[in-house]
Amino acid sequence: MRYEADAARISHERLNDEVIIINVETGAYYSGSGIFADLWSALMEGASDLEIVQHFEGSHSGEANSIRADVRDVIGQLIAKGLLSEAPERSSPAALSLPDVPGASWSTPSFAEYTDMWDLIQLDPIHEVSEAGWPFAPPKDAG
Amino acid sequence: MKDSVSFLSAVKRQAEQVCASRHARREIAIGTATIRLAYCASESSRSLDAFPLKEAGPASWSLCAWDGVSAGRLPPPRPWGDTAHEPLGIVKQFTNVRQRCAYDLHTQSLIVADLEARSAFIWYPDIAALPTWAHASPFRIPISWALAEQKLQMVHGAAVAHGGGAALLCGAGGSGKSTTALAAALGGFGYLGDDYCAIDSAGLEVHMVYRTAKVLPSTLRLLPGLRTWIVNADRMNEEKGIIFLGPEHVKLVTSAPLKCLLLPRLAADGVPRIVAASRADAIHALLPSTIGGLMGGTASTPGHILRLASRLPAFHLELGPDMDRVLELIGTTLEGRP
Repeated sequence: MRYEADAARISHERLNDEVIIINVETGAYYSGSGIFADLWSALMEGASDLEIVQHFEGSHSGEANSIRADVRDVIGQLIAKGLLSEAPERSSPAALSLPDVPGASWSTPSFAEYTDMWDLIQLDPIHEVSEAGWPFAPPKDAG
Repeated sequence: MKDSVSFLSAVKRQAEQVCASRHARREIAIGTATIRLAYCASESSRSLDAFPLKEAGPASWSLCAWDGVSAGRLPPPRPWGDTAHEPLGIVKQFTNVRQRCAYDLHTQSLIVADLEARSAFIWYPDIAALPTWAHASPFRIPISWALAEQKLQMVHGAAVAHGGGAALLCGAGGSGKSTTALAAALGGFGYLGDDYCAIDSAGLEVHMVYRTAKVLPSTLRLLPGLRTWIVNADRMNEEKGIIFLGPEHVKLVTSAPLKCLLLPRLAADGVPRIVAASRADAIHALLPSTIGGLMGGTASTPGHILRLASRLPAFHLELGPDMDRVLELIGTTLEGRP
């Protein structure tokens, strides 16, 4: 299966080893690096889950079963979070433009999720903050 | 699509009619972006005073703002439902590569942009009734769209300059950005803004968007000299105090090279210090509140913030009551010796 991100809801950018994905509809953002960034880039290029597994099996040393399971698990998480949807009509990319990683070992790809944006939106405008903010001392138990 | 085009056309027609009557006009410059503002309100407003004092060249964008207090100035009926703007404000069904429609819940304003024509329109129910903060950071959303077209990103952050370089102070509301920026400005640093600035992540520059500042009572206790500059001092029990800063107050700087990102936070022991911050810290200090405050930003927003966090050193600026020490730390960090 191939996948896509809904451009109206999902902004994403990769810079060097790191990728950031923003779901502007739910107010959450996600960041990851290394294998996760490569996996996301491959998905955005239109590679199928099988093509991605084949790529990682060639580029990383590791158990083929683990690679297959990890890739499918992460894709499942991305779908569950509304970042990806199936796009069977997409065609296979001519070649994946992923960085060379000579001698790399496989490790389970992971990403961080940040969901506090919605709270910030609710606070806006004028960023209502407590009168007890800086420059007052923090509560005694703060540290 | 047809509804979308006809709504945009109707808004543009009304804007042209309104602007045919008496209106205030001003060209503003933010970095390389120049925007022609036409402002049609029932009474004069301070909104136009919020922008940088900088000579503007030919406008690359136009923005028309008006309100509905006079007859015939209601916007065309919206062709979408009550909740179509949720959650961030963008009306997705009427937003595409050619136009953007949004509703700002906080000012109850309708925002429509014709991206191809580089023009935007913003309608308020009653401009005179807007809270003071709205006049201190006017037209934030359409201006952020105009900046994006010039490869600039509006960010939620304060900025101060010293020795030929500037620091961008990033963090959520209440982290100390405004107070630090004002204290620095009073201490002789250049002032580029306390809440929203524009950044060029390729050229590593920061630009002033508004020459205003927000003041909490707690800031006033620390910086009592600000009191006489506040334009709404009589309403500070209801809203934040607002200052429109001029060259008679502080050294205003419209653009400066960016040298570092500073992430203010309260020092647990009250002793100011600088602590190295990770790239992830910097992204988290800058991204959520920028995205949240700009209705999701634009497609280029994540790239700008990633580049900024990757190319600039970031530090936690741990704050305490010793303001002189805080300013000394900012100065030495900008000089490259934190």
